Amino acid sequence: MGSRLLWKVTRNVLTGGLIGLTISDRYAGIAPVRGLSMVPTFNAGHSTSVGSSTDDHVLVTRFCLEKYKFAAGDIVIYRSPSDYKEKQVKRIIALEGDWINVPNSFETLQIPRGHCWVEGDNPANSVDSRSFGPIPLALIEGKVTHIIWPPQRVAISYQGWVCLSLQQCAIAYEKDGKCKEGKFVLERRKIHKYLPIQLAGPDGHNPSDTQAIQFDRLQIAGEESS
Amino acid sequence: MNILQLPWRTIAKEAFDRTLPFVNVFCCLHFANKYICSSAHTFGPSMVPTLSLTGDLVLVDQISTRFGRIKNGDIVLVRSPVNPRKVITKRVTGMEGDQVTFLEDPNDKNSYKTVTIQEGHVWVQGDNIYASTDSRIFGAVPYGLLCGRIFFRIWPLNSFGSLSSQS
Repeated sequence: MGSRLLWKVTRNVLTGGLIGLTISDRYAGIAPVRGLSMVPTFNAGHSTSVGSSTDDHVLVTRFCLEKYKFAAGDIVIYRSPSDYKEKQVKRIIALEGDWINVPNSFETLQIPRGHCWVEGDNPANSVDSRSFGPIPLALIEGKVTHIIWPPQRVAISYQGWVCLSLQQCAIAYEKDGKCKEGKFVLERRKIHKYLPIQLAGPDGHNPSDTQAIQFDRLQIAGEESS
Repeated sequence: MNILQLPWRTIAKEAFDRTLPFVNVFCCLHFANKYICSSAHTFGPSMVPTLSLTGDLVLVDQISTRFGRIKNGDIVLVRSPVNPRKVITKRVTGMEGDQVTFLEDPNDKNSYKTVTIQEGHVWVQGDNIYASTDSRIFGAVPYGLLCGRIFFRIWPLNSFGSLSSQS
Protein backbone atom coordinates (compact mmCIF):
# COMPACT_ATOMS: atom_id res chain seq x y z
CA MET A 1 0.00 0.00 0.00
CA GLY A 2 2.79 2.38 0.97
CA SER A 3 4.85 1.70 -2.12
CA ARG A 4 1.78 2.21 -4.27
CA LEU A 5 1.20 5.65 -2.80
CA LEU A 6 4.87 6.49 -3.27
CA TRP A 7 4.69 5.43 -6.91
CA LYS A 8 1.62 7.57 -7.46
CA VAL A 9 3.24 10.61 -5.90
CA THR A 10 6.45 10.15 -7.92
CA ARG A 11 4.48 9.80 -11.12
CA ASN A 12 2.49 12.94 -10.44
CA VAL A 13 5.59 14.93 -9.58
CA LEU A 14 7.33 13.74 -12.74
CA THR A 15 4.35 14.58 -14.94
CA GLY A 16 3.98 18.00 -13.37
CA GLY A 17 7.68 18.70 -13.74
CA LEU A 18 7.66 17.70 -17.39
CA ILE A 19 4.62 19.84 -18.17
CA GLY A 20 6.13 22.78 -16.31
CA LEU A 21 9.44 22.41 -18.11
CA THR A 22 7.75 22.25 -21.49
CA ILE A 23 5.68 25.36 -20.79
CA SER A 24 8.67 27.31 -19.54
CA ASP A 25 10.79 26.22 -22.53
CA ARG A 26 8.26 26.89 -25.22
CA TYR A 27 5.85 29.54 -24.01
CA ALA A 28 6.63 31.48 -20.87
CA GLY A 29 8.71 31.12 -17.76
CA ILE A 30 9.81 32.90 -14.63
CA ALA A 31 13.33 34.16 -14.06
CA PRO A 32 14.96 36.04 -11.18
CA VAL A 33 16.83 39.26 -11.96
CA ARG A 34 20.08 39.51 -10.06
CA GLY A 35 22.36 42.47 -9.74
CA LEU A 36 21.94 46.18 -10.17
CA SER A 37 22.33 46.54 -13.91
CA MET A 38 18.63 47.19 -14.52
CA VAL A 39 17.96 49.60 -11.62
CA PRO A 40 15.48 51.29 -11.41
CA THR A 41 13.36 49.09 -13.68
CA PHE A 42 14.22 45.95 -11.71
CA ASN A 43 15.60 45.55 -8.19
CA ALA A 44 14.99 49.22 -7.45
CA GLY A 45 15.11 48.82 -3.70
CA HIS A 46 18.56 47.27 -3.57
CA SER A 47 21.68 48.94 -2.31
CA THR A 48 24.21 46.15 -2.86
CA SER A 49 24.88 43.86 -5.76
CA VAL A 50 24.62 40.75 -3.59
CA GLY A 51 21.64 38.59 -4.54
CA SER A 52 18.91 38.34 -1.95
CA SER A 53 15.47 36.90 -1.50
CA THR A 54 13.89 40.19 -2.52
CA ASP A 55 15.19 39.94 -6.08
CA ASP A 56 12.56 40.81 -8.63
CA HIS A 57 11.19 37.83 -10.50
CA VAL A 58 10.03 38.49 -14.02
CA LEU A 59 7.82 36.79 -16.57
CA VAL A 60 9.77 35.77 -19.68
CA THR A 61 7.74 35.05 -22.79
CA ARG A 62 9.19 33.06 -25.65
CA PHE A 63 6.67 33.76 -28.41
CA CYS A 64 9.03 36.32 -29.90
CA LEU A 65 11.51 33.53 -30.72
CA GLU A 66 9.36 32.33 -33.58
CA LYS A 67 10.18 35.33 -35.75
CA TYR A 68 12.91 37.07 -33.75
CA LYS A 69 11.12 40.38 -34.16
CA PHE A 70 12.10 42.92 -31.53
CA ALA A 71 11.79 46.63 -31.06
CA ALA A 72 14.18 49.08 -29.48
CA GLY A 73 13.14 49.39 -25.85
CA ASP A 74 12.25 45.74 -25.31
CA ILE A 75 13.80 44.13 -22.29
CA VAL A 76 15.23 40.75 -23.22
CA ILE A 77 16.98 37.85 -21.56
CA TYR A 78 19.96 36.44 -23.46
CA ARG A 79 22.96 34.17 -23.03
CA SER A 80 26.11 36.10 -22.37
CA PRO A 81 28.36 36.04 -25.46
CA SER A 82 31.42 35.37 -23.31
CA ASP A 83 29.93 32.66 -21.08
CA TYR A 84 27.12 30.50 -22.40
CA LYS A 85 26.00 29.40 -18.94
CA GLU A 86 25.23 32.91 -17.81
CA LYS A 87 22.02 34.68 -18.71
CA GLN A 88 21.62 38.44 -18.61
CA VAL A 89 18.66 40.79 -18.65
CA LYS A 90 19.16 44.01 -20.58
CA ARG A 91 17.26 46.47 -22.73
CA ILE A 92 17.60 46.53 -26.52
CA ILE A 93 18.75 49.99 -27.55
CA ALA A 94 19.26 49.54 -31.27
CA LEU A 95 18.56 46.87 -33.88
CA GLU A 96 20.28 45.85 -37.10
CA GLY A 97 20.91 48.72 -39.45
CA ASP A 98 20.63 51.42 -36.77
CA TRP A 99 23.49 53.75 -36.02
CA ILE A 100 24.75 54.20 -32.50
CA ASN A 101 27.36 56.36 -30.79
CA VAL A 102 30.06 54.14 -29.39
CA PRO A 103 30.56 55.25 -25.79
CA ASN A 104 33.82 56.95 -24.82
CA SER A 105 34.72 57.66 -28.42
CA PHE A 106 33.56 59.78 -31.31
CA GLU A 107 32.83 56.81 -33.51
CA THR A 108 29.41 55.86 -34.76
CA LEU A 109 28.78 52.24 -35.52
CA GLN A 110 26.17 50.58 -37.65
CA ILE A 111 24.73 47.47 -36.02
CA PRO A 112 25.50 44.51 -38.31
CA ARG A 113 22.85 42.20 -39.74
CA GLY A 114 21.19 39.90 -37.24
CA HIS A 115 22.64 41.75 -34.26
CA CYS A 116 21.38 44.21 -31.67
CA TRP A 117 22.80 46.61 -29.10
CA VAL A 118 21.84 45.91 -25.48
CA GLU A 119 22.40 48.07 -22.43
CA GLY A 120 21.36 48.05 -18.81
CA ASP A 121 19.22 50.84 -17.45
CA ASN A 122 21.88 51.57 -14.87
CA PRO A 123 24.94 52.53 -16.92
CA ALA A 124 27.17 52.82 -13.87
CA ASN A 125 26.73 49.19 -12.91
CA SER A 126 26.20 47.17 -16.05
CA VAL A 127 28.31 44.98 -18.32
CA ASP A 128 26.68 45.22 -21.72
CA SER A 129 27.23 46.07 -25.38
CA ARG A 130 29.34 49.03 -24.32
CA SER A 131 32.03 46.53 -23.38
CA PHE A 132 31.42 43.59 -25.71
CA GLY A 133 29.77 45.22 -28.72
CA PRO A 134 26.60 44.19 -30.54
CA ILE A 135 25.29 40.69 -29.80
CA PRO A 136 23.61 38.26 -32.23
CA LEU A 137 19.82 38.21 -31.94
CA ALA A 138 20.05 34.43 -31.85
CA LEU A 139 21.43 34.59 -28.30
CA ILE A 140 18.13 36.02 -27.06
CA GLU A 141 16.04 33.54 -25.10
CA GLY A 142 12.92 35.54 -24.39
CA LYS A 143 11.29 38.88 -23.79
CA VAL A 144 10.74 40.17 -20.26
CA THR A 145 7.23 41.51 -20.00
CA HIS A 146 6.14 41.70 -16.38
CA ILE A 147 7.43 41.75 -12.86
CA ILE A 148 5.51 39.07 -10.99
CA TRP A 149 7.33 39.06 -7.66
CA PRO A 150 7.51 40.71 -5.12
CA PRO A 151 3.77 41.51 -5.14
CA GLN A 152 4.09 45.18 -4.26
CA ARG A 153 6.12 45.77 -7.46
CA VAL A 154 3.76 44.04 -9.85
CA ALA A 155 2.12 47.32 -10.85
CA ILE A 156 5.33 48.79 -12.17
CA SER A 157 5.68 46.31 -14.98
CA TYR A 158 4.59 48.73 -17.72
CA GLN A 159 7.76 50.74 -17.29
CA GLY A 160 9.35 49.24 -20.33
CA TRP A 161 6.59 50.73 -22.41
CA VAL A 162 6.97 54.19 -20.90
CA CYS A 163 10.66 54.13 -21.39
CA LEU A 164 10.18 53.06 -24.98
CA SER A 165 8.00 56.03 -25.80
CA LEU A 166 10.52 58.29 -24.11
CA GLN A 167 13.33 56.87 -26.17
CA GLN A 168 11.46 57.56 -29.33
CA CYS A 169 10.87 61.13 -28.19
CA ALA A 170 14.55 61.56 -27.55
CA ILE A 171 15.23 60.37 -31.05
CA ALA A 172 12.61 62.62 -32.58
CA TYR A 173 14.14 65.65 -30.90
CA GLU A 174 17.66 65.07 -32.11
CA LYS A 175 18.56 68.35 -33.75
CA ASP A 176 21.91 67.77 -35.37
CA GLY A 177 20.34 66.60 -38.62
CA LYS A 178 21.32 62.98 -38.16
CA CYS A 179 17.71 61.85 -38.03
CA LYS A 180 16.70 60.01 -41.12
CA GLU A 181 13.81 57.77 -41.89
CA GLY A 182 14.18 54.70 -39.75
CA LYS A 183 17.88 55.31 -39.21
CA PHE A 184 19.01 57.37 -36.32
CA VAL A 185 21.84 57.92 -33.97
CA LEU A 186 20.86 57.33 -30.38
CA GLU A 187 22.18 59.81 -27.91
CA ARG A 188 22.82 57.63 -24.91
CA ARG A 189 23.06 60.47 -22.47
CA LYS A 190 19.59 61.67 -23.28
CA ILE A 191 17.96 58.30 -22.99
CA HIS A 192 19.38 57.60 -19.61
CA LYS A 193 18.31 60.99 -18.41
CA TYR A 194 14.64 60.14 -18.81
CA LEU A 195 14.42 57.06 -16.74
CA PRO A 196 10.80 56.07 -16.28
CA ILE A 197 10.84 56.22 -12.51
CA GLN A 198 10.56 60.00 -12.61
CA LEU A 199 7.50 59.81 -14.80
CA ALA A 200 5.59 56.95 -13.30
CA GLY A 201 5.07 58.21 -9.82
CA PRO A 202 4.63 56.11 -6.71
CA ASP A 203 0.88 56.04 -7.23
CA GLY A 204 1.46 54.00 -10.40
CA HIS A 205 0.10 56.72 -12.64
CA ASN A 206 0.74 55.72 -16.22
CA PRO A 207 1.32 58.73 -18.47
CA SER A 208 0.03 58.51 -22.00
CA ASP A 209 2.19 58.93 -25.07
CA THR A 210 1.34 62.57 -25.55
CA GLN A 211 2.06 63.35 -21.92
CA ALA A 212 5.39 61.65 -22.24
CA ILE A 213 6.22 63.73 -25.28
CA GLN A 214 5.24 66.93 -23.49
CA PHE A 215 7.36 65.93 -20.54
CA ASP A 216 10.27 65.23 -22.81
CA ARG A 217 9.91 68.52 -24.64
CA LEU A 218 9.90 70.36 -21.32
CA GLN A 219 13.03 68.56 -20.27
CA ILE A 220 14.84 69.39 -23.47
CA ALA A 221 13.74 73.01 -23.35
CA GLY A 222 14.97 73.22 -19.77
CA GLU A 223 18.26 71.74 -20.75
CA GLU A 224 18.79 74.25 -23.53
CA SER A 225 17.90 77.31 -21.48
CA SER A 226 20.18 76.37 -18.60
CA MET B 1 -33.24 20.24 -20.41
CA ASN B 2 -31.63 22.90 -18.32
CA ILE B 3 -28.01 23.44 -19.21
CA LEU B 4 -27.10 23.89 -15.58
CA GLN B 5 -28.25 20.41 -14.74
CA LEU B 6 -25.63 18.74 -16.92
CA PRO B 7 -23.00 16.90 -14.88
CA TRP B 8 -20.31 19.50 -15.55
CA ARG B 9 -17.96 18.19 -12.95
CA THR B 10 -17.90 14.72 -14.51
CA ILE B 11 -17.55 16.12 -18.02
CA ALA B 12 -14.61 18.28 -17.02
CA LYS B 13 -12.92 15.39 -15.25
CA GLU B 14 -13.43 13.14 -18.21
CA ALA B 15 -12.06 15.72 -20.65
CA PHE B 16 -9.04 16.26 -18.42
CA ASP B 17 -8.38 12.54 -18.13
CA ARG B 18 -8.65 12.06 -21.87
CA THR B 19 -6.30 14.91 -22.85
CA LEU B 20 -3.67 14.28 -20.19
CA PRO B 21 -2.01 11.36 -22.04
CA PHE B 22 -1.60 13.47 -25.17
CA VAL B 23 -0.15 16.35 -23.18
CA ASN B 24 2.19 13.88 -21.52
CA VAL B 25 3.40 12.47 -24.80
CA PHE B 26 3.95 15.97 -26.17
CA CYS B 27 5.94 16.97 -23.09
CA CYS B 28 8.05 13.80 -23.21
CA LEU B 29 8.78 14.43 -26.88
CA HIS B 30 9.77 18.00 -26.13
CA PHE B 31 12.04 16.88 -23.30
CA ALA B 32 13.73 14.22 -25.44
CA ASN B 33 14.16 16.61 -28.34
CA LYS B 34 15.50 19.49 -26.35
CA TYR B 35 17.64 17.77 -23.75
CA ILE B 36 18.72 14.38 -25.10
CA CYS B 37 18.64 13.78 -28.82
CA SER B 38 16.79 15.13 -31.82
CA SER B 39 16.87 14.64 -35.55
CA ALA B 40 17.70 17.18 -38.20
CA HIS B 41 17.68 17.41 -41.94
CA THR B 42 20.77 19.00 -43.41
CA PHE B 43 21.30 20.11 -46.96
CA GLY B 44 23.39 22.53 -48.93
CA PRO B 45 26.91 22.63 -50.30
CA SER B 46 28.81 23.87 -47.26
CA MET B 47 29.58 20.48 -45.65
CA VAL B 48 30.40 18.53 -48.83
CA PRO B 49 31.94 15.87 -48.81
CA THR B 50 31.03 14.93 -45.21
CA LEU B 51 27.33 15.58 -45.64
CA SER B 52 25.80 15.35 -49.05
CA LEU B 53 24.44 18.18 -51.12
CA THR B 54 20.96 16.77 -51.52
CA GLY B 55 20.10 16.24 -47.91
CA ASP B 56 20.94 13.92 -45.04
CA LEU B 57 18.87 12.92 -42.05
CA VAL B 58 21.07 13.05 -38.98
CA LEU B 59 20.78 12.59 -35.22
CA VAL B 60 21.73 15.55 -33.05
CA ASP B 61 23.07 15.09 -29.54
CA GLN B 62 21.83 17.85 -27.25
CA ILE B 63 23.82 16.86 -24.19
CA SER B 64 27.35 17.86 -25.22
CA THR B 65 26.47 21.47 -26.01
CA ARG B 66 24.66 21.87 -22.72
CA PHE B 67 27.60 20.66 -20.67
CA GLY B 68 30.33 22.32 -22.70
CA ARG B 69 31.75 19.08 -24.12
CA ILE B 70 32.15 20.39 -27.66
CA LYS B 71 35.68 19.95 -28.94
CA ASN B 72 37.64 20.61 -32.08
CA GLY B 73 36.44 18.62 -35.08
CA ASP B 74 32.83 18.14 -33.98
CA ILE B 75 30.09 18.82 -36.50
CA VAL B 76 27.57 21.14 -34.88
CA LEU B 77 24.31 22.90 -35.55
CA VAL B 78 24.73 26.64 -35.12
CA ARG B 79 22.07 29.31 -35.06
CA SER B 80 23.29 31.74 -37.70
CA PRO B 81 24.47 35.04 -36.18
CA VAL B 82 23.41 36.80 -39.37
CA ASN B 83 19.88 35.41 -39.51
CA PRO B 84 18.57 34.06 -36.18
CA ARG B 85 15.81 32.08 -37.89
CA LYS B 86 18.29 29.92 -39.75
CA VAL B 87 20.27 27.00 -38.33
CA ILE B 88 23.44 26.07 -40.17
CA THR B 89 25.68 23.00 -40.04
CA LYS B 90 29.41 23.56 -39.60
CA ARG B 91 32.50 21.95 -38.14
CA VAL B 92 34.19 23.41 -35.06
CA THR B 93 37.80 24.18 -35.93
CA GLY B 94 38.83 26.30 -32.96
CA MET B 95 37.89 26.79 -29.32
CA GLU B 96 38.28 29.88 -27.15
CA GLY B 97 41.88 31.07 -26.85
CA ASP B 98 43.05 29.15 -29.92
CA GLN B 99 44.73 30.81 -32.85
CA VAL B 100 43.13 30.03 -36.18
CA THR B 101 44.76 30.49 -39.55
CA PHE B 102 42.49 30.56 -42.56
CA LEU B 103 42.41 31.61 -46.19
CA GLU B 104 40.40 34.75 -46.69
CA ASP B 105 39.95 33.95 -50.34
CA PRO B 106 40.03 30.18 -50.94
CA ASN B 107 41.27 30.65 -54.50
CA ASP B 108 44.25 32.73 -53.44
CA LYS B 109 46.80 30.57 -51.61
CA ASN B 110 48.59 33.59 -50.14
CA SER B 111 45.70 35.32 -48.39
CA TYR B 112 46.43 33.84 -44.97
CA LYS B 113 45.01 35.46 -41.93
CA THR B 114 45.44 34.46 -38.28
CA VAL B 115 43.06 35.44 -35.51
CA THR B 116 42.79 34.62 -31.83
CA ILE B 117 39.36 33.48 -30.68
CA GLN B 118 37.98 35.55 -27.83
CA GLU B 119 36.57 34.16 -24.62
CA GLY B 120 33.41 32.10 -24.86
CA HIS B 121 33.49 31.83 -28.64
CA VAL B 122 34.15 29.03 -31.11
CA TRP B 123 35.37 29.08 -34.68
CA VAL B 124 33.11 27.19 -37.10
CA GLN B 125 33.89 26.43 -40.71
CA GLY B 126 32.31 24.38 -43.46
CA ASP B 127 34.19 21.43 -44.92
CA ASN B 128 33.77 22.88 -48.38
CA ILE B 129 35.71 26.11 -48.10
CA TYR B 130 34.66 27.25 -51.55
CA ALA B 131 30.95 27.35 -50.83
CA SER B 132 30.44 28.05 -47.16
CA THR B 133 29.35 31.09 -45.19
CA ASP B 134 31.07 30.64 -41.86
CA SER B 135 33.40 32.21 -39.32
CA ARG B 136 35.66 33.42 -42.12
CA ILE B 137 32.89 35.87 -42.94
CA PHE B 138 31.10 36.60 -39.67
CA GLY B 139 33.92 35.82 -37.24
CA ALA B 140 33.90 33.51 -34.25
CA VAL B 141 30.42 32.75 -32.87
CA PRO B 142 29.42 32.78 -29.18
CA TYR B 143 29.17 29.29 -27.68
CA GLY B 144 25.54 30.03 -26.79
CA LEU B 145 24.60 29.82 -30.46
CA LEU B 146 25.50 26.13 -30.75
CA CYS B 147 22.37 24.01 -30.61
CA GLY B 148 23.58 20.45 -30.93
CA ARG B 149 26.30 18.08 -32.08
CA ILE B 150 25.66 15.88 -35.08
CA PHE B 151 26.88 12.35 -34.37
CA PHE B 152 24.93 9.86 -36.47
CA ARG B 153 23.57 9.67 -39.98
CA ILE B 154 20.32 7.82 -40.65
CA TRP B 155 19.61 8.64 -44.25
CA PRO B 156 20.75 7.88 -46.97
CA LEU B 157 20.91 4.26 -45.87
CA ASN B 158 24.15 3.41 -47.72
CA SER B 159 26.08 5.79 -45.51
CA PHE B 160 24.18 4.85 -42.34
CA GLY B 161 26.53 5.09 -39.38
CA SER B 162 28.24 7.36 -36.95
CA LEU B 163 29.88 10.55 -38.14
CA SER B 164 33.25 10.48 -36.45
CA SER B 165 34.78 13.78 -35.54
CA GLN B 166 38.06 14.61 -37.19
CA SER B 167 40.48 17.40 -36.51
